[in-house]
Amino acid sequence: MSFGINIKNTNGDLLIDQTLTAYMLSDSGTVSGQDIGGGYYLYERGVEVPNIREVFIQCDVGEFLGTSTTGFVSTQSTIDYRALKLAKDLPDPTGYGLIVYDDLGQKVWFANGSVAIMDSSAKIDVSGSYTSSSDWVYITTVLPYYTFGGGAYRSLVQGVRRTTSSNYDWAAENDSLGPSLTVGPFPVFCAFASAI
Amino acid sequence: MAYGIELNTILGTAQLTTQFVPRIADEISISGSSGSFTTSLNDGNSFVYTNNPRVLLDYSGSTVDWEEVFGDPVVTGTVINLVRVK
Repeated sequence: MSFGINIKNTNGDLLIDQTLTAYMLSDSGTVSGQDIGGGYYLYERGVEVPNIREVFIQCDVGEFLGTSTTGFVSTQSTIDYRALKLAKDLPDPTGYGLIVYDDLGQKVWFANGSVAIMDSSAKIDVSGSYTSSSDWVYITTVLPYYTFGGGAYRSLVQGVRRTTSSNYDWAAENDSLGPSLTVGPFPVFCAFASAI
Repeated sequence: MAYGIELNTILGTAQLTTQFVPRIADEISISGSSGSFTTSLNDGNSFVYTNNPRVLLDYSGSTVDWEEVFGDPVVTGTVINLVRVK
């Protein structure tokens, strides 16, 4: 490194530098979902959770978290969420502390903001599973309902179910909201964080 | 603290050991119904997501395949973000 700043973890992986903009906390909260019956709760973007793409949700063991065009569906009646934005898209911090800028003069990280402490990311194939002990999940791709026929159509919301403290399964469940379209099933892309 | 930096979270500070901080690394424009692009970022330490909710990505190695899953072509100028976590 000829100039600038490099912050690495103990494995030598780069965490912060003056080049790549970090995602940092924009909004957080604990919210109750809309009871849609069958043990499912809807969390709409722009209603219960902010209309921000990067939203991590705390998923408890045994619970389901799905994604649709309008938001999230969960078996948890209440969820904790953390929404992230790029540092350059957040307001300038006030008070004092370290700010790192890129060569365009845009913020890439600042010390008095909160970052996502990420453990891993994964593509979980249909009917597949993934080993992770992280409590926070961000389903990165919004998916349509997966519908299949044969007698009566069933529209399934796709996502993950945390089966144990260290495992997530791909899951598609019937929340009774889906339309009768024939698409999918699709793999689920997730990011996992231990804290935010 | 013996080394590195303590990063803030709203739960308190954390000294990262094996964890990462997500950072945006590239933005790629797409259009049409499907396609592919290559990236050197996808080395197992980064992941890809799209800010278009209608696009599904699939990737292995340096090739990222994408397709529109609702049946309508993606408008020109749609951007796929590449996020690096390491």
